Amino acid sequence: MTHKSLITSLIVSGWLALVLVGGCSIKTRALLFDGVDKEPPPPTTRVRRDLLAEIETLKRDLADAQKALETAKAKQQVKTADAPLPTELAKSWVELSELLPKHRSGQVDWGAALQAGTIRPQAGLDPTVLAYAEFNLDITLDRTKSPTMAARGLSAVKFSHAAHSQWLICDNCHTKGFQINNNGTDNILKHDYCDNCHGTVAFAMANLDTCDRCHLRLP
Amino acid sequence: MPAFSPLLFALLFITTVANAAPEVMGNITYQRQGEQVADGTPAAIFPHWVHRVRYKCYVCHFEIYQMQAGSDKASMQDIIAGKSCGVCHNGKIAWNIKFDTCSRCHRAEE
Repeated sequence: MTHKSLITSLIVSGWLALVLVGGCSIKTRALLFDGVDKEPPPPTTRVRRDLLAEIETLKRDLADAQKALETAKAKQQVKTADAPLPTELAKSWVELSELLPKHRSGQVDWGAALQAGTIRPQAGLDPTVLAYAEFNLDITLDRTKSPTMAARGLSAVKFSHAAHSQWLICDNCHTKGFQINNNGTDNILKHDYCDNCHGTVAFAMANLDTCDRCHLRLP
Repeated sequence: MPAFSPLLFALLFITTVANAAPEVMGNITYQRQGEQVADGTPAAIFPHWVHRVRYKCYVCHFEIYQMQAGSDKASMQDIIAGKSCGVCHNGKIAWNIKFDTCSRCHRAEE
């Protein structure tokens, strides 16, 4: 009987001590125990500071993500620029000529293909080499320059340097071995001038629809 | 029969070859010469169009080739030495000259 009452009184006194100590102010508790004298910051301040820190972190994450997105986009753009054009994948001339724009005469219009971006010829073996500047000078070769033209009553020829200089450089035509000057255009039909390329790699004098690509009007 | 069968074969051969090789503007055929004819290797064909899609004329003319057809000879020795076609066809800029690429140029037709 005495044991039971002793145990009960111990439990009750322990309980009371806990409640009393728990109910004490921080200052009072500091008197009784060590290490509890520091007052924790008010909850409102702590939450606000945490939130501010969190906002800062999120801002930094967002900036990082945006930077990563930009880098990825730039990489993708480079990839699309590097991706071969359909014309570069063509396996045969028939396949390619279907992809290229045509002139009224039925022949492939390479100049139009270049303008439209259907083809993308490099200016050098190194893909980063810049193209030569185009030379924008149209000249008119009238029939006084050519006995043949005069004899046949052909209208003057308009020669566009711009159209040619997007493929060729000056010395491709203006050289000793392949002399073109203002004084002799009579040999055009003798494989000396235009015919070096026209009819071999450039449009040929194929039919009457071709004439007005050079001659200002039909005779 | 034996008298005109060679003629028949010749005719057949000519028509087959004519049909098999359609004219493509700008293609240059490097005919086999002298002893080369005997080994039966087809002539090499250079297609301008393949190159024109990728490069402007002045990339090769005159740095590598003259303008007039026939003014430059291309031999396998030169190509392997890095001249002529070998300037690009070296495995770096374009495909390399190897035994599995012979038929890319040496072919009967376009």
